[in-house]
Amino acid sequence: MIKKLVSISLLLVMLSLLGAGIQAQDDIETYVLGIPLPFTGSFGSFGQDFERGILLAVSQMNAELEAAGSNIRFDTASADTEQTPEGAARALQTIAQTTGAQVVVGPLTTDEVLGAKQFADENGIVIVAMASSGPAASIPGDNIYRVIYPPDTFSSKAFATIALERGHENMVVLHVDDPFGNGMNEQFIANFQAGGGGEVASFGYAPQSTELSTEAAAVSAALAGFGDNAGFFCVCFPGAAQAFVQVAQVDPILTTVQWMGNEAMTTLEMLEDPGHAQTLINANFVTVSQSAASTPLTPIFNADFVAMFDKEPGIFTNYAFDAANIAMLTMLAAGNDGAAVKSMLPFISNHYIGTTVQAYLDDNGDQAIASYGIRKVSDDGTAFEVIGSYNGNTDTITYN
Amino acid sequence: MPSSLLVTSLVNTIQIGSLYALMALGLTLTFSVIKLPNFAHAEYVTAGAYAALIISLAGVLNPLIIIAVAFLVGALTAVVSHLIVFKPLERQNVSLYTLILASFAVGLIIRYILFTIADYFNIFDLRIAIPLQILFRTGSLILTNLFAWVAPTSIVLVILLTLLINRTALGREMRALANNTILARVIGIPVERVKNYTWLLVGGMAGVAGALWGLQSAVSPLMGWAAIISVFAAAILGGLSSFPGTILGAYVVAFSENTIMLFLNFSYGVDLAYKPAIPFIIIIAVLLIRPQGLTQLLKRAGELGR
Amino acid sequence: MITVDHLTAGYGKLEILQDLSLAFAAEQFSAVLGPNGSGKSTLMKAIMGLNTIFSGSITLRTRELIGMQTEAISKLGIAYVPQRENIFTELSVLENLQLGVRILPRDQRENALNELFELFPILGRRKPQKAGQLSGGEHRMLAIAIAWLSRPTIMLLDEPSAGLAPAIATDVFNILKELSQQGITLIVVEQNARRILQHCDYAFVLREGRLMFDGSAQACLEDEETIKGYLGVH
Repeated sequence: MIKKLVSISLLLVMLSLLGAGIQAQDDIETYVLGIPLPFTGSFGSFGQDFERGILLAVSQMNAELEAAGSNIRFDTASADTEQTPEGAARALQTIAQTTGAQVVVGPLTTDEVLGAKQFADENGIVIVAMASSGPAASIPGDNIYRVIYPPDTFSSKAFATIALERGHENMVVLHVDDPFGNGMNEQFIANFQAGGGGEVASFGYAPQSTELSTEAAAVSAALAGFGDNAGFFCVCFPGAAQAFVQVAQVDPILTTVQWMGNEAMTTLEMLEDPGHAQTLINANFVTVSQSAASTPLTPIFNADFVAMFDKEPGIFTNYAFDAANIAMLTMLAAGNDGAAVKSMLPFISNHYIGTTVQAYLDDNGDQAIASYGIRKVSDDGTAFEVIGSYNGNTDTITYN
Repeated sequence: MPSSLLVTSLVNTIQIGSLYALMALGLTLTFSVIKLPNFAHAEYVTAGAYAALIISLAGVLNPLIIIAVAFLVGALTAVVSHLIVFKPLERQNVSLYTLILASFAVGLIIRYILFTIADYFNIFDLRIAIPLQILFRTGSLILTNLFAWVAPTSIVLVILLTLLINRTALGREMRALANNTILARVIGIPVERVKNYTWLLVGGMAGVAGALWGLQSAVSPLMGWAAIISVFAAAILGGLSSFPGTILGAYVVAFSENTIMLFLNFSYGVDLAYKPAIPFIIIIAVLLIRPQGLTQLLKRAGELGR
Repeated sequence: MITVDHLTAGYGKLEILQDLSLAFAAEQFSAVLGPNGSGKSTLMKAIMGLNTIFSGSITLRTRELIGMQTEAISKLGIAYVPQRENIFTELSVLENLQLGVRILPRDQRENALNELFELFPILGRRKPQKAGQLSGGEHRMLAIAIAWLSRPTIMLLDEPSAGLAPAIATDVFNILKELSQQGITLIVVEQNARRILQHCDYAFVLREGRLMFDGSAQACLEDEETIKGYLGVH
């Protein structure tokens, strides 16, 4: 038995020496890009799609590097954040300790990003987040960069402007009770009231809720209390939004007021039930979304994605693709070193145009260009279509 | 609290309470007959919901067929988990803690199998697509065809299960097993067969509850797990052994999560996000104050009535 | 009828019966006597497959019982009345009895119940009552009744008179006599040695898991050493 073990370990040592030899010969240097994303939990499908977007960026970059005769290649290391802040911290730690990665693309939600923040700051690891937008993570000087998606400071203002423009005197907000939802809610209230709006009643729901009849009843009663000219704003994750619309569609009050909702709830699954789609149409539902912007690279990304994975990219997947590109370009410029990447990332970001929009980072390391599309449900109820735009930097709405 | 809100929340209490009762009765049955606080129970609910969702996506929209398929799949999941995991463990005379941990593990395995299936077909957060119709409307009281399916189906099943337990030979043997396992063996009750039937019923009921839950809300791999603490709270209110106590417990939990929660929100500004804490509070309160649950209370009420 | 051969048995890792060999004859009323902890109850549980067998064999006629499930052993016509927890307290008296007859063919169940109510009239009057609410004597009657209803050829009873008032204990002994007259092989564990020796045919005396005496009830009564040494004076 012992003999066997000894011979196996000798074999392993020889093999690894051999591997090192090969590597030394070709002189290939590998940079690892960490991917901490939720692969399980209700955001599991998001995480898996984002990972595909990142893998696409990496394979394209490696092909270009090889063609150009560069000795640098990118490799990835994924870990599941389990959609929780603690899980995100663990995932980051796992990636860093097993691969020595200096840069990660992810995590997904603001909750997870904040969970991973401490480990990243302490160990000089740079977080390049693709879709987190909660104002809570807008912190100057830390290692969090949110390169594509602007913080909700902008979208909450967009929603407030739309609400005021629609003539709402009072608003009722239903929001997920996490840093993203709470941040959106607080900033919406501040912007709405600063613009002359009246009272806002807010209801938070627990993040993992699958059943929102109590919340719907409370929202309905609050709307009834405000009387005419009250509007409803939903800041929900997709599953909860689905459950909410399910009960709201027969509510006598909720079916007579105008709705707005955050971008994440506007998945196509939302429209699969004709009753849900009709409810949103009747409610004049609108959302604002950065993803409505497109560049000449957007269709190319879509085609490449389909070619590689044989499926359409999901919502926000191109953000992950862009974030990965910014991370890799910075590493090519600054080397595989967290501190150097941190120093150079804003410069590279500011000179990057990807599949969504020009990136321009503010002092917090957040995207400062906010150009949203305003979207509603199409008349046939099968898709969300653009009906106008909102310029976050000038606070102006333009309808097509 | 506005009266319209009260009416809506009471309708919700009936609907959700009936679903909790359906799930919690299964849990109580497993605990008393099989002697297992089964945390995998949640996943039988999810399995049934996904079975219902998948056949509804395939075009089957007859609620009776959907419910029957959900029963079968829930039952199959439960029986298989018994045969593969719990039965062999019982044979080895492992401790209760080992069984509880095993039930967690079984639950995780089923949950992530469902995740894989859901991911493969990309079916997250979908509702079982039976079109919604309003059947009855007056003032703030609105009853839909879903309410007409969910609440009566659950209540009928709860009644049938109660009758089966109290009035049939199988039910008698299940209660005998729950009361005194050794004596049940000694007088020749086919313990393994009774246990198999118990698992079948428990899983089937959970599966139906999942399908009904998916009718009124949305189906996701986490739905059963999200409901299990409320279901445990209902069963613990029933002292984990009494069927009437469990049914009452289910409605008490649903009432607390809906009506009382809304009252606290309206009168004292308590955030609705505290809703998931309610079942925990109930569990802790029951364990601290009345570990025997509502059972003794019910008995006393019964004796007073006599 | 039941032959115990070089049996070592106990609970978990604890050995209580030590290499015990004895045989219970058919249609006899045998008493198993001995001080506390001598292994009397362990012997009964071993026959029913309810504890740990380390070595040896137990055969019914020629059939090996060790390794069989308790349910299967009871189907061979062996009924066992444990000393405690011998009824279903949460079920009604009638339900307890229905469970007793479940092993019989469907058409014989009604008859068996009717006969039972002749033998135990008190149980007929308590039918709808919850079994846990019965008095001590009724409880004991019900436990014996459940076992008897399965029409067993052999009945094992563990201390059927323990803790009962003398008058009720007498009733129990009368019932045992009646059962014995019906041709049922009785194996009874008793503390009250003098009392049971009046009724039984044969006696075994155990001490510390070993057989100390084996002979007719008469012989046992006359064996002063056994009586004084192992059974105490009752």
